[in-house]
Amino acid sequence: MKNRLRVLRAEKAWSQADLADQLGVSRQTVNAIEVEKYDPSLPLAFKIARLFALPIEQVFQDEENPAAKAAE
Amino acid sequence: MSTTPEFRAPSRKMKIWHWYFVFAFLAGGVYGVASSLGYAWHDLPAPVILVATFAMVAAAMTCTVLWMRDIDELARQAHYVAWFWGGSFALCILLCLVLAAPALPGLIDFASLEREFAPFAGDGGGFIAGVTASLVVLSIGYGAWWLVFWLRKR
Repeated sequence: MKNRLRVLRAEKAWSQADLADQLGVSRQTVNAIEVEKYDPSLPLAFKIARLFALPIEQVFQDEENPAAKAAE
Repeated sequence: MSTTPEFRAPSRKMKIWHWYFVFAFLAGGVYGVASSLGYAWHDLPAPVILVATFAMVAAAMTCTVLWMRDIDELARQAHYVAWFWGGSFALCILLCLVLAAPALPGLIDFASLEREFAPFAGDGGGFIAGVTASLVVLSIGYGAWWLVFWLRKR
């Protein structure tokens, strides 16, 4: 699953450790999500979206969804 | 966001690690001293063996539950995946060995394994050796899968 976490984090000038602290996860987890090696659980995905005050679909994009592909 | 390092009290996870290592070193030391004095685990009275075994397993399980509750979801996922796939592959290898054992008489020295474990269970030495081998192989498979998963995802 694609995501914009790295961009969103950069906009806030947060380090991975800063973001990890706010989410209550390890820095490794934040990195694994950013490089798209790991898809977070639904509760964590919602927590990330809430933290950036965005709808979840503006943080994570479903690659299987043709509408999402077309929007890219 | 602050960029200066802050002092943080050790988390419950770190406390569990600390106590685990302290206990492991103490237990290893006691075992080593007792062995050098000629005492052996299997020579202890049966009630002592039973109580000590259940106490150690209960303590280990308690630490494991607390540990799993404290780690984050990627770390937990690593353990789930490693336990399932690493453990399954390891047990499949063991299964191959068991099924192929009659065709590979020289591959494993079963007689010396039984002798090694005979003090623990007498005639059941072979069975205990088998259970121990399963635990060891399962742990190796689990550990190897966990390491690969962790290095690839981190």
